Amino acid sequence: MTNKFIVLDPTLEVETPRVERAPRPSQIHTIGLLDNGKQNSDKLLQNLARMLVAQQPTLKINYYRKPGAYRPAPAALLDKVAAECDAALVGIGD
Amino acid sequence: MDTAQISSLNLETSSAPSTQAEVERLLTSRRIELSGPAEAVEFFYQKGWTDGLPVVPPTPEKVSEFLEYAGKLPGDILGMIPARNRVITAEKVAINAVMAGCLPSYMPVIITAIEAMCQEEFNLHGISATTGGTAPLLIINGPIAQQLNINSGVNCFGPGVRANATIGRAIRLILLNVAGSIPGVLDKACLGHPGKYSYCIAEDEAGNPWGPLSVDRGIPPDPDISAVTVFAGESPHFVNNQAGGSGERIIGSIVNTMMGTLYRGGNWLLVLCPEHVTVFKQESWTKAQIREAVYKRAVRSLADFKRLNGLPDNMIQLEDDKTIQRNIDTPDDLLIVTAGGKAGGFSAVIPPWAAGADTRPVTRAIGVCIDCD
Repeated sequence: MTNKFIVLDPTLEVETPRVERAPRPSQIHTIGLLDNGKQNSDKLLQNLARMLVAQQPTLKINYYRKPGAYRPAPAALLDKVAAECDAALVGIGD
Repeated sequence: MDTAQISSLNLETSSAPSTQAEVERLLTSRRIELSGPAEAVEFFYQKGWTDGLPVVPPTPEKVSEFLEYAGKLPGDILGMIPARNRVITAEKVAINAVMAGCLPSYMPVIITAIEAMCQEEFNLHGISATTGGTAPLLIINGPIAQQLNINSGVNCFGPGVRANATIGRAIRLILLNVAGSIPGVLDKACLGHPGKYSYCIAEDEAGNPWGPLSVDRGIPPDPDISAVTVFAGESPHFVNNQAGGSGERIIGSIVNTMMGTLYRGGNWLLVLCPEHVTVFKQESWTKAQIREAVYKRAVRSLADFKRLNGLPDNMIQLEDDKTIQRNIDTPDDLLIVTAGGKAGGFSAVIPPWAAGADTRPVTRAIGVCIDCD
């Protein structure tokens, strides 16, 4: 072809920055359970909590709940979980 | 970056006069060299950059023509989706509008719709990720609807008119290519609906005995002002009432359609067809009276609501029989728009996203800077 035909990329073209996993804690004294606010997610997390405590009776469990299921968790809530816990369990319960 | 910073950025960059050639020099998108339009169509399929239909190849010339018409520079920021860390620039909007088959003159509508969709109360991230499968519906008011020939009449939700088809399609391509709402990746819609290809109508203001939707939504009643309302809606559910009978009977049909769903809360949209509007007009109904009548009648017991939702009997309490469950929380949560062909008694109810009040419709004037001094 002698004539060049140029088109433009319609996408954002931004590589999603790679987020490394936080270092795994060697010991977990406090674990946070972050409820995403969906129906029954509390039951799922409470059962998980019981299983974890059965394995490690000294484990402290902190329970958090998103203000609503349909919006991202507020940054302040995530900061609070990070400050108060060695690790956290998050997921989608429905 | 907060909203104030975004608008100052817009003001700064948009104030400089620019020709199409100047705009073209400022384009920053990756340039891809191909043999011609036919290869471009296939290339865009291979890259996953389409909605499943062929696209118009976005050449730098066409894209800069669109930007110049809109009075925007490529880097102008129209909105952000913080949860996805994404920024929507005028350049990317113009590229996708070209791809959708738009005319340059459609750009002000598309830009205003994107700005409206990026307002926090619309919750663009939520409504375009959900299993619920809603789509942003654009409702256009004011003189621009006629200027651009946006259909408000016969078959307005259907095919056949370039403005409706391609403005709605541009919104979808922007959601796919810029916002990242890729089906199965970030868009988890269980079924989706056909409005996710294109969902754009105008209001039939000439056939509307009341004020237009945009005025109900706070836009000044000035005949020179056009506006876009974005509404995160499910598909239209038809209200089939051919006999008309009376306003009360039509209200009954509307409520019956609403109660065929289990959505509650949030905003609902009622699209009234000309035949039904005529009956209401003859009986001198106001919009407020229609809203109130629908609000009062769209009600069932919480026990029924739970049963129809599939909850087991042990989750239904005795008092649930006496607790009232309304489809809409207040009469004002019902938006009314007039549209459709002159023949046929088919209005429509468009339920909200299943999350109800977690999205709210947004109305914005076209080409009017609300944040400016």
